[in-house]
Amino acid sequence: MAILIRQELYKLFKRKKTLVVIVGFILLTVFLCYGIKQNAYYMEQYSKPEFQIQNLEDNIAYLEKDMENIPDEIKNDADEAKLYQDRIQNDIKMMEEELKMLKTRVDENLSWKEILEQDISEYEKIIEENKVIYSSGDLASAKLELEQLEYLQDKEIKPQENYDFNAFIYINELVLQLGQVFLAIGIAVFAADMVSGEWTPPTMKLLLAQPVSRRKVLLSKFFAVSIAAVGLIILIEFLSFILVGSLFGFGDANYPTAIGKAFDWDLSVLLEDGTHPLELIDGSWKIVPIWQYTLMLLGYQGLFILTVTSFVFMISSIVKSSMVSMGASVVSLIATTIVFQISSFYGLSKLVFTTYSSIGEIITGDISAYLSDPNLTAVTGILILVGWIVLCYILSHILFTKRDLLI
Amino acid sequence: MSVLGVNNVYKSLGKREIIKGIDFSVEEGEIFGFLGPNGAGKTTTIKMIVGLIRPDKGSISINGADILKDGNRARAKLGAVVENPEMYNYLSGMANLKMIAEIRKIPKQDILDVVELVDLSNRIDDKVGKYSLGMKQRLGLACALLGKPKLLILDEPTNGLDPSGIIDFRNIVKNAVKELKTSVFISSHILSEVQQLCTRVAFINHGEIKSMEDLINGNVQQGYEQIAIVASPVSSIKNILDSVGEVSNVVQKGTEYCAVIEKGSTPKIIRALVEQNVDIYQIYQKQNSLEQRYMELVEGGK
Repeated sequence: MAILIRQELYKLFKRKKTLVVIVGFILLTVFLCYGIKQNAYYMEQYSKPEFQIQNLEDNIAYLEKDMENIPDEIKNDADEAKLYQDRIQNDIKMMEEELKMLKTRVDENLSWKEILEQDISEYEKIIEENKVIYSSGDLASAKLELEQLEYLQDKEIKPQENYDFNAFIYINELVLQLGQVFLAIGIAVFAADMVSGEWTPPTMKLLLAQPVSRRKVLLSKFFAVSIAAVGLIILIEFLSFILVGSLFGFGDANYPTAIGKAFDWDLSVLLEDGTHPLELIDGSWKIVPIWQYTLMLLGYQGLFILTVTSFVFMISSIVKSSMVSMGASVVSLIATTIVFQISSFYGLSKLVFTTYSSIGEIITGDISAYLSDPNLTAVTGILILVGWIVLCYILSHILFTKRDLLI
Repeated sequence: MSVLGVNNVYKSLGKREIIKGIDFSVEEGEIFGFLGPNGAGKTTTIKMIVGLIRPDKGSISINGADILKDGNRARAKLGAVVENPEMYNYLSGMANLKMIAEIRKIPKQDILDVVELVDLSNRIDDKVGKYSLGMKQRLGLACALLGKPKLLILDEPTNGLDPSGIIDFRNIVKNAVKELKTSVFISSHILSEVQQLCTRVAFINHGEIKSMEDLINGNVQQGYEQIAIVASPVSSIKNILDSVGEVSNVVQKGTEYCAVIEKGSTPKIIRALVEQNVDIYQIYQKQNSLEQRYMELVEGGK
């Protein structure tokens, strides 16, 4: 069996196509990395205090002008006009407060620790003041935010800005972007001719005339392509992580990330359409360091890659032409991805593996909110993916071992 | 024990019955020919022997091991080239052979020996994609011979080979049989091929074995012979021949008379002709060739 797996890997890596896919994947990684970095750069431009101050000042000036111009419909109604002006006055007041805070920060040149302290007391105040008004979910979100800030303070970690760029931010963003469609297409091209490639030309005859059972031939092919797909993708991601880290810094490996958020219907609130809102459950999450989160992410991604590989492998066992199996794999993967994003299919989509391509959301638990299903957890996701792998392999096995090979 | 036993095998594809009860065996050291026109069911039979297709009914065993129940043990004793030899084109000839050698746990020296045997030593490290058809055929044969099989199956082995390629191929097979004491099962629709290699031949058409014949020096062995006579006076020959009891079916072909006679009755016929004062210019035995038999069985069967 070990010999067969090694031979399948050898054949796989001797094919030109494999090389093309690997080079393509590396180029894609470089390209996405550049995009993520560039994005961070633009974000930084917009997030600079000078820019934000300018922006707020512009807005205030604009609102002041609005105060003067009371719309014609309410000009004659003193109460309405008053309400209108009060509202704008209120907005201006809020902006001015924010402006003051920004300016003090710029003027006083506060250290990040002092800012962090300010933010924490700000959140404590918000939670205390809004206990009654806020929905349970908003309150929980604020508590989560506070908990993360306290974690940062506790561990003396500098809070990241949304424009920061480091290896951990990069790899998480990379996994997110790859998950959308690139992984599926890449794997379809990579694995589609694993079985079907031996029909055209029919080298399968040579292989099956040897004293090996079909069961072993198929299993060795499956192991080989799985090892190659999971191994290559994770290896390239890891290498790019090291490279980005040594160029732009790794960031703090202990940076807090919330995982395992759970949601539930808030039955005390009835929305206009007769449903209840899905709210974050207080304390359902767990804060873990980002290195741990990233490992979970890569592990889960490995499982997802394995699932897509099994699916493509199954098509490869059904179809007898490598071109057809490649086409069928790509089309069916893209089609399922798109079809199950349409809301009317949401009920079914949690059973379809392409839904779990947003790997980050599954680990953080946000997938429940995204698919409006409180029962969807990381464990359900794992079970469904494993179910697909088993199902696809059993189908391939039945087809491959029972059929007549009329090549 | 037979090296290959095919016992009353049936196979249908869709609604059409392709193989209608084939039954034969190949003994040790035998070169067995499997003759029939295109579409007679030769390749289907071979695919069933190798285990690529399951028979609907009947059983097949190689060296005593059932191909379905004990496939690995059966195929361990089998070397086969089914239709065109298909190798991994993106690998070298050597890499192809090494893969088979690994699976069958064959030492390296055996690979070199078999490469030598098929005369590919100087091109064995080239990619198979660059091989000519003849070289591919020889590499296919090398793959089949690598495991020192008890049974070698060759399906249309000289398809697409040029005349010198065919001669080379034939010599390789003959050498292999001599060196490895392998039984060979050759399917073909090319008569001369079978004639020059085989010791026994089965005629197959429409999924059935029509006849099984022993070949000696490429000729079918039967209880009668054919002779041709050139003699004068022409007019009396037919009557004289007809009067001899061992003669049947006298036909005039130009200046020649042909007749089917009982085996060993030639001297009696000559005596009868001489007694009647006929001058004999020529009398010779016509070879009862495979081609005749083939035409009788296959064409006549239509």
